[in-house]
Amino acid sequence: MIKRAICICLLFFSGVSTLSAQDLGVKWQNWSAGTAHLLPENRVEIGLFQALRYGYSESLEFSTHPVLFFIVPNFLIKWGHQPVGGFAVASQHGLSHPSPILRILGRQGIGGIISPEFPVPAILSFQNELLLSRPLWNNHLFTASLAFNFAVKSAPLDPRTTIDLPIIYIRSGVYYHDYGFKLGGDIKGKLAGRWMYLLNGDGYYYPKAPANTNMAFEQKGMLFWNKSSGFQVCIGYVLSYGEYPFGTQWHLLPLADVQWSWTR
Amino acid sequence: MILVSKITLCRLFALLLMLAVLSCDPIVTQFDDIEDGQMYTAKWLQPPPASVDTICVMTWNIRFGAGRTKWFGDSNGTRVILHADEVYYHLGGIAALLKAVEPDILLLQEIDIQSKRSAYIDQVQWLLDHTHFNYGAYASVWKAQVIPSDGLGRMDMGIAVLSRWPITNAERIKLPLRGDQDGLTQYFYLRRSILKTRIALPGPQEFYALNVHTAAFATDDTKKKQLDIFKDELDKLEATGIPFVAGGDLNSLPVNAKKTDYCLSDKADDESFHGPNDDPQHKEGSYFTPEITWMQPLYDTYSPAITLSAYGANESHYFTHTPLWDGPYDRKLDYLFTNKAWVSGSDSTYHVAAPWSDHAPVSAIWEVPK
Repeated sequence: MIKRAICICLLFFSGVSTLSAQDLGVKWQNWSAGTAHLLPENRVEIGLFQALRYGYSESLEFSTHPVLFFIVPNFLIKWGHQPVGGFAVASQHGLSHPSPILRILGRQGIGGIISPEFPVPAILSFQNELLLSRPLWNNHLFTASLAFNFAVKSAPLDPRTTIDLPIIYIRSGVYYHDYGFKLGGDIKGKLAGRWMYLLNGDGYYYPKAPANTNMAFEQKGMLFWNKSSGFQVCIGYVLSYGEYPFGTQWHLLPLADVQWSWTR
Repeated sequence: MILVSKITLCRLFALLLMLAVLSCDPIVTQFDDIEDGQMYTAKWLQPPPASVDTICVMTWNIRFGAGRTKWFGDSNGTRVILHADEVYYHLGGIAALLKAVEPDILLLQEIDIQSKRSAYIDQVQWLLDHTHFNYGAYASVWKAQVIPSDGLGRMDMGIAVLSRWPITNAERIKLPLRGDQDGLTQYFYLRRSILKTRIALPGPQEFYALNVHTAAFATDDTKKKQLDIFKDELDKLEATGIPFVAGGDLNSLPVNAKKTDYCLSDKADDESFHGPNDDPQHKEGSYFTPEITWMQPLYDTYSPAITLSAYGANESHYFTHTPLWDGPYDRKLDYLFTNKAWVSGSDSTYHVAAPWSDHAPVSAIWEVPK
């Protein structure tokens, strides 16, 4: 099963050239999370809830969630590729180890989100995503993405350990169902003055999950106030539709973040 | 152009703000003083008797289909989240007893409709679909998207009334919260209620069945307040002459109970009570001595299915509960009352139900007023 997942992953990215090319839409490089554009070399971006991102070179960007790192060790590489048909192309390859946080949450008493009666095995979760971005008109950028994620475990994880809450349940599906896909699209751009927007939609699919709990969808809308290239604040919402063990449910949740950037 | 953009921005902001406010679904559901109960109908309706002289009424705390599992919350156990097969097995046992006894009206406590701990099985619908009952009404007691303690997760537990005849109205009446908890614990804790149902019984113009499950572990007078409100509701019906049956898990001993302190028999191996250095001195939910008179007003005003004299003559015969996963029932907490009359000697306390719950069901035959 794991071998098959790795083969699918390799096939998925085999057609993507490794040549670097960032000549498409240089103006989209700052605050470029979620697009096929990479941060400029030596630029660092971080937010209260956003990952720490670092532009290592023209074709490589590294990121990690620093606060979460100690309970969910995680690392992601974004790799710029040669443009195809007017699209900037990048791939992301990430690794995370959620077992420590699952064990912390599996406790008796207050703070116990997972029942302590279930052991949590060692889990390694792999993220592989292809991103294609293309400018629309002058001030807008369209990005399409397709991700293949898979997880390997040292032992089965009891399905009763799921955290049946929006955002979390959807993203942790790969721990229980071995692999899954995410298909997404977003548009970001300039509204007026210092104001930017982002509209995003992501669909999730876990082929090995039971038919009534194998899909989810999220739609996000954000407004950014861009004080400078080094600081922005954002507010918005995420609308989430999920198939949970108890049935389907919609959630509408607020989003807000403060983000900083600097050059090393 | 800039003006238009600013107006658009303001509108967008207003929309986002509105979305953010609307999106704040509470993690824990709180309730108004009075709300509608949640109505149920069985998948297959079975014709009820068109005329009746007596009906059989039963009350049963079914412990959310956990049977006698060593659950962490009430039996010094370690289990938290049950497997669906376990829950269906226990529900099957409960349904078999219900089909054997054939009560006409059933008051249920600790019944889950969408709880992670019981595999998200809607137990009200399941029991309706697997017994002779046709209609149900449900009122939540503990409803939250997540209980962030011990891995409980999503919770919707409550009380229900099942009936062979249509339930024409169901009201959830709020009871006071425990007064002996800190704010955070209280926010995530149970919100007790009375479920008041009007049932289209053949015969009387109006007839009500009321179900209640009062505080189990309060160390202050919360349970007294809840019992008083329950009696007030009965008094309102009595004042208008409307017949009713009422009962549930009152978490109180009969006023003439010989043993009122269960701290030592209920304690876990690592607990200690009654010692000079023990704090608290008594185990929550096991020390009834200071509250032994709280049931007196109900006994004074209404007809119990089991009289105090009958209970006093043979206490163990009427015991309905034990917190010990492997012990016999050792106290009475479950009751039936009416403002009319029970058929004398018609009561039953079903100790054979021990594999299916930590509470035994109690039934009695009620005389339908002419």
